[in-house]
This record gives sequence, C-alpha cells and structure tokens, in this order.
Amino acid sequence: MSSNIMKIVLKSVSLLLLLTAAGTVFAEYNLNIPKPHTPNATVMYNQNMFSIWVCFWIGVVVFGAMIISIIFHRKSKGAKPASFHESTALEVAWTIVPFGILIAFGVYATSGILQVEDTTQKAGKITVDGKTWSWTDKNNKKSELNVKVVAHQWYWTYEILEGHKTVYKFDSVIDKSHKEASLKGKDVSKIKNYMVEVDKPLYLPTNTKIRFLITADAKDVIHSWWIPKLGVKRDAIPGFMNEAWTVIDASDNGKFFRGQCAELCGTYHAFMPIVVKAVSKEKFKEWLAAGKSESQKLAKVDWNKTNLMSHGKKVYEAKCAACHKPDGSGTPPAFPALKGSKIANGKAADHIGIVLKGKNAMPAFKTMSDADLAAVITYERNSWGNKGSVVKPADIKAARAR
Amino acid sequence: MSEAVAHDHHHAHPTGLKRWLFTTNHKDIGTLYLWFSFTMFIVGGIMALVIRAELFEPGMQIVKPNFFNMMTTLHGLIMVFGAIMPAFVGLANWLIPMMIGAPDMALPRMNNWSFWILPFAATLLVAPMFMGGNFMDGQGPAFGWTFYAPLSTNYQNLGFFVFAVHLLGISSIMGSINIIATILNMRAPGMTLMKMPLFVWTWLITAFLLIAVMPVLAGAVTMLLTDRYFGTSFFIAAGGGDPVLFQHVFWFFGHPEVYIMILPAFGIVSHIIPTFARKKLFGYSSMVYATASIAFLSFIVWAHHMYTVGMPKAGILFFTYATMLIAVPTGVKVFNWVATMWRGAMTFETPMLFAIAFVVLFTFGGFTGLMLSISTADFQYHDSYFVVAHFHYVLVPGALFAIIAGVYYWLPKWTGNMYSETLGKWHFWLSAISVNLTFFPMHFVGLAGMPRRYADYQLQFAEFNMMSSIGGFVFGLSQLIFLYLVIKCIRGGKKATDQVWDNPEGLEWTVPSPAPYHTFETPPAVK
Ligand code: HEC
Ligand SMILES: [Cu+2]
Repeated sequence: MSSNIMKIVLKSVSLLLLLTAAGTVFAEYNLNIPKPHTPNATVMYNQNMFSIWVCFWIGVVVFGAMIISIIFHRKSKGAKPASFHESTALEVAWTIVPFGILIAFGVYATSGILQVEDTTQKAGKITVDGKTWSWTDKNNKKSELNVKVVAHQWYWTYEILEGHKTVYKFDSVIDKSHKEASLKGKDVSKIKNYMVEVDKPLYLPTNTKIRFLITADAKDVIHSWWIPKLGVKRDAIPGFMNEAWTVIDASDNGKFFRGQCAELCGTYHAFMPIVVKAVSKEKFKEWLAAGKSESQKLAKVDWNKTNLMSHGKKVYEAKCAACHKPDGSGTPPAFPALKGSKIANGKAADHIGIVLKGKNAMPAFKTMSDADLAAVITYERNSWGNKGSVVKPADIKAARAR
Repeated sequence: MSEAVAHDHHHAHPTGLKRWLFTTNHKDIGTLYLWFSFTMFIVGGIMALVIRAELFEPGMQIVKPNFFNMMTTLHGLIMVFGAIMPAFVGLANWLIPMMIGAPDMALPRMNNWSFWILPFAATLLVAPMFMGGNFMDGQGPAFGWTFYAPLSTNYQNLGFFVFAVHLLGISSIMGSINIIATILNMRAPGMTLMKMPLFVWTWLITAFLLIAVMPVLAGAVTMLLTDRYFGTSFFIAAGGGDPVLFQHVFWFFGHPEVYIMILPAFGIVSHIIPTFARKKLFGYSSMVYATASIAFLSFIVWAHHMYTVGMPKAGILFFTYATMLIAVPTGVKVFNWVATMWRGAMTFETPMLFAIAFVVLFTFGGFTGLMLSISTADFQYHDSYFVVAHFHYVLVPGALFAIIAGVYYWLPKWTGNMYSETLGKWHFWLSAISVNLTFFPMHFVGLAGMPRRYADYQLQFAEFNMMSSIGGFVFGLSQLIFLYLVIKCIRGGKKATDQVWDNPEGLEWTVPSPAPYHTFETPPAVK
C-alpha cells in the first residue's frame, strides 16, 4: 500500500509541474489579470499571483489527502475504519501553521496597500519588480497633473485642472454605433473594441505623476472608474472626492487603455466605458490647447434657434435619450415621455428647473455648460410636435443665479 | 408547553389545505419550508437562465438592459431569502427536535406564523414586475441584491421592496427565536451542550447571528423608505447625506448573512461524512469552537466588500487582516473533515458524494475568498466576475450542495422509503460537472476584466460566457431529476430501515422510518 501511495504522489507531482508550466502562459490567454502597465497595476498583479500560488499549494496538501483517502480508505477495498477522532496536537498544528502563512500574507499585502494608497509619491520615481517609472517633479508638488473624473448616468466628464481651476472639461460618451448595435441585437462580432469605444478619449501624458480626483454628480448614483491595466479602480460617489494615482511609462506612448464602469449604476451600467490614450508630454499639451480653443469657439457661436436645435439634438442623444428615448417617448412610468409633456410645452422656467436640479430618478445636469443646456432644452421644447419657447444660454445663466 | 402537545393529541389531524394552513407540527412546517424553498429555487433559477441566455453571446438578443438588471437583482434576492435561508429553516424544523429528543419546537404557533409570512413577502418582492408600464422594460427592483443607495432610492416602487424585506426579516427573527428557545430549553435529559449534534450547534450560532443582523437590515431599508417617501437624506448626498453609510450598514448585515447561509451547511456535512466514512467526526469540540469563531469574526470584516469606496489606509489594513483571519477557523473545519475521512471505510452514496463535492468546492471558494481579502489585489477583483465566481462557489456547490446532501441523507427517515440511488448518482454527476462548467470560467473573465451585472460585454469574453451559459442550462435541468426523485421517493420505493444507513449517529435514527407525526413525547435518555 505504501508503494501505491508513492506512485500516486509521484503522479500528482508530475501533474503539478505540468500545471505550473501551463501557469506561465496564463497571461497570454486572457485567463488572468491583464499585463500591468503601471507601478500600482504591477503590485496588484504580483499580489494576485502570490495568493494564487499559496492557495494552490494549500490545495495540493488538502485535496491530496482527500484523494488518497478516497482512493484507499474505501469500504469496497476492505478498509476497516480507524477509531481515532481527536488529537490536540494536530488541531493546534493546523491552527498555528495557517496563521503563520497568513502573517506572511499580511506583511506582503501591507506593503502593496501603502504604495497604492499613497497618492503623494514625492520621490520622483518608483521601482516595482525591477522596472522603474520616473516623472519630473521639480517643485516636489503633490502631482504634476490633476484630472477630475465626474460620473453621470451614463457617461464620464473629465476635467483637466491647473491649480484649483478647470482649464478644459469634456464629456466622454460611449460610441453611438456600439450602443445601437448592442441594443438592437445586431451582429456585433465584427465591431472593433466592442463596448469599449468612446466619442472622446481622455489623453494622459507619460512620465508624469497623475492624480485622479474621482466623484459623481451630487444628484447621481454611485459608479466606479476602472482601468485594469493602469491599476486604478475607485468608486465615484456623490458627495465624495476619491483619489487615485498613476504614472505611465514613455514606452506606452500612443497606447490606448480601456476600462468600464464597475459599480451598478442603473439601466445602462454596461454602456459607459472609459478610454485613455497615453501620449508624450508635448502631444498632451497640443491636445489640451486644441480642447480649450474648441470650448471657446462653442462659447462664441450665435445661439439662434437653428444652431440651438442642431447642437441640442447631439446633446440630447448623448445625455437624455437613454431614459427619454431618441423619439421623446420615454419608458413610462419609470421615465416619462417628453413628447407632449406638460413641462416641455409649458413654462421655460419649470423645464430649466427640472433639468438643472433633477427630480427623483432624473439626474441634475447643472454641471453642463449654459450653451449645452439651452440647446438641449430648446430641442426638447421644439421636437416631436412639442411647441415650447426657445431657451437661450443667458436664460440658463439667469436661472442658475436664482 | 407539554399542555399544548397533549392538547394536540385529542384532536384528529385536520386534513387537506387546513392541515397545512393551521399546522403547528414541526415536521409539517419543515415540509412547508422545504417546498417553498424549492419553488423559489425554481423561480430564481429561471431568472438565472434568462441572465445566462442573454449572456450566451455578445450583443443584446433577448431582454432589455433594465430587465436584465431586474433579473440579476431578483435572482439574488430570491435565492438568498427565498431558497437558501428557508431551506435551512426547513431542515432545522424537521431535524432539531428529533436530534435533541424534543417533541416539537418550543413555540409551535409562532413557527406556523414565521412560515406563512414568507409567501406574502415573496409576492411583494416580485409583484412590481407586473405593475404599470411595459413588462419588458423591467418594472421590478433593478438595483442589485445589495440595493445600494442612491440607486435604490430612485426606484419608483421601492415601498414594495422595503416591506418585502421587513416581512422576510420578521420571519427570520421569529424562526431564530424559536430555534434558540428549542435548543436551550428542550434538550433531552443528559444532552449537554457539548453533546449536541453539530447541525444543532451550527444552527444555534446561526440563529444568534440572524437575531443580531436582521434588525440592522430592517434599519437600512427603513432609512431607504424615509429617504424615498418622507424627505429625509440619510443616504442622499444632495441633502447632506452619506451614500457610503448605506454600504457600511448593509454589509454589517450582509457579511454575517453569508455565514448564516453556510454555518448550517457545515453542520449537515459534519453529520454525513462520519456516517459514510464509518468513523466518528474528527475534532468535535474544535468544530464547535471554529464555528463560534467564524461567527464572531463575521462581525468585524464587513468593509472588505467596500475596499474601493475610498477608506482610510488604517481601515483598509484592519479589514484586510481581520478578513484573512477567517481562513484559520475555516481551515480547521476543512482539515477536520479530511481527517474524518482519513482511514475510514468510505462508501459513496449520493449524500456522501454531495458532501465530498461540498468540501472540495467550498474550499475552492474559500481560496478565492482569501485572494479577495487582499485589498490591493481586490482593487482588480472587486465588482468583476471573479467575485461572482467566488460567491457562487460558496453558495451553490457550497450551501446548496449541503442542503441537497442533507435532503438525500434524511429523506428515507422522512418518507420511510429509500430514494433511487441510480437517479441520485445521475443528479450528482450532472450537477457537479455543470456547476463547474458554469462558474469556473467566470474566474477567468473576471480576472480579464469583465465587470459584474453587465447586460452586454466585450468580444474577448465570448467563449467563456458561452461555456457558463451551457453549464447553467445543464445545471438547471439536472435539478428536475432531483424533483422527480423526491416525488418518487415520497410515493413509494424500497422500505427504509429505522437506521437507514450503516450505524449513523444521532437520536433521529432511533425513531421509526418514516418518522411518526409525533416523536419523543417522552424524552429519551442520553448517555
Ligand atoms: C437616468 C435617466 C434620465 C436621464 C439620463 C434624463 N432624465 Fe429627464 N427624467 C427622468 C425621470 C425619472 C423623470 C421624472 C422625474 C419625476 O417627475 O419624478 C424625468 C423628467 C424629465 C422632465 C420632465 C418631464 C415631465 O413632463 O414631467 C424633463 C423636461 C426632463 N426629464 C429632461 C431631461 C433632459 C433635458 C435630459 C438630458 C440632459 C434628461 N431629462 C435626462 C430620467 C432621466
Ligand atoms: Cu456607472
């Protein structure tokens, strides 16, 4: 019998080696956390691998013992039951040994937590696993770049900050064609980056220590901003400002990093992807300048009814159609129809009021620009047979002041 | 107490519907609980299959996104509160009096009431599905079984949900009081606490957990109710409230809740393995202490469900360490089961097969639990399919397999007939294979970055999702074998002996099979 046990042990060990070899190709087959690109993602990846292997070996011992007894200690093989049913020494041993393993676990985990949670990172560089990420840190500032991420049902708004001031702000919404293909049940098998494409990606400079300030609109629900390869996942919570940090190496210039919302946020939870493009510092400056001038151009447009209607349609489809439907019919009773609605045909002030302040499941849109709001409200008041007045950006400004 | 029992005797048992409506007999009530649980299991299972059908391929082919969210929500709530918890209460009703040598539960009328509340609670929970608007838009709750505010407070029919949860809570609390009163007061002379069978022990501890956390859940839903209808702002940021507070309160209930669903399973398995290994349970007292430690620890780990909300470093570290600690008593249990099997003389009847699968697959779920406890790694796992895989491993081949194992084990005692071992083996192997086919690939898609509660997903996840869906349908259909087998066994079959198995331990095996309507009217003597 003992030679039998030896055989089994030998066989299991060779099977294990085989599995270990298979383990090294984990990453290539999307069976594991994707290859990390930042210091924090690397730490997360390593902790993941460490715990997989610890569990694996504990499993070998426990399941090994089980398998041996299932094979040999069966009645059909003439086994006679032993009579032992207690052993203080054993009980103590299998309390103390796992406890020891956990202490090792705890120490290792602590180092990771301290790194990920420390958004100050004053050193100017960080080395994980022999790979170094560095950034220019002339003034020993907390961060070279601060990006505010604001979640909405169901898109993200990004704000590039300089000091405490927002210098460029834009919305990043899922690519319309992806959403449409999905909801209409079309064949999606040929769509590139299906479900993770947006109209405007967020550009981020490499070799720069970036701090994210993550929140959700005060009247919105909780979302979570997650980009696996950058090692960032933080909940976007109304009324809270969460922090996360990252640094991307110059070798990743030009790469896209994709992610999705990770906290259930209502109907279109699956439809608010995140796309980040890593670029050189110079490219980032150009992108920022172009963005700024685009917003200024929008500020100079003559907001007559034609312009309001055409811009309003765009805003409506991006921000409102999810609930109120492209044809304004809504999905009553949860989301009322705007077509023929009392408010859309009634006093402009009420209409502006509900859009600015929100009501129950209707989010507040006060973070949108005056022009966007004026356009979308005008569009709602003059589409699908509605006959409401035109609303100008100045009306919104006045309503905000009230 | 004895009066009530004596009183019962002089009447003929009511028959038909009345028997079930007015019954105060622990065996009848146990049966009611078990059938209710199975019905809910089918309902929740159908919802799971809607989910799996939609996720069979990328793109949305079958339902709309909100309907999908409603399915994930109701599937979770129904399985937790409608299927798993009532099944354990049903087993408790049937078995605890027989195991401790008591004639019935301590509070038989309350027992009746705590069961009959359940169908109403379940109705309130699903009723909004059929109210107003277009059915396919999903009018029911669609905010996840965790009903985080403020997503839940936005929901137009929140009141139904809140009252359903209140009723479920009342039922659970009454059931727990009854179980505690029975165990503490009605044990046969000579049965000291440390002689109690483990199923009784684990249920005693579970009942205390329920009494401790159900009121917390009630508090949470009441705050939601006032936020929605009475203008308070407990969880609404715009009114100065705190959405994260909701999560703390919810998980202070929610974490012990997961142990509520697993501790009685530990008890069941601790009965079955010794019987079929023909060897006494290894380390009885350490089993009891481990159960108590797990119950205690379950109160101080709740925030490991919330590592990403932006807790302070000290908080994250504390919850990481505390969570890891749970592995120690859980490990002790697993080691004890393996030691019980070691050098036994095992046979592999269906209950034993399910029990062994429980030990293996629950342990596997424990491993992924240990991985999730490490907050840094959890930043990647959190709210991904990895978590879905983890908790389905501990709840399906964990809690559910233990329940099924228990039903096979005690069914001959209940019905007086042996079930069909052939069908049982079919049921086991189909279930064991398909459950892994369903849930194992979820680890992979989770690690690769698929968030949970997603109605549609990236193409890179397509193959594994298809596997899960196929597995899910096979698993669902396999349970019909179980239904058929149980009905067949109730109707007849080979007569069971009083002992049923080869020398099992416990008072329930000393009464005739089928167990008579009233057992242990005079308490047995326990050595
Ligand atoms: C998350 C879903 C959602 C989105 C997105 C949304 N709404 Fe609403 N909206 C609602 C709900 C729900 C109501 C009903 C609120 C109530 O009365 O309780 C509503 C009501 C309204 C009303 C009042 C209709 C009436 O007759 O009572 C207007 C006007 C309106 N929304 C405009 C907008 C505009 C403009 C946008 C885009 C900028 C928008 N909504 C985006 C959910 C939404
Ligand atoms: Cu979201």
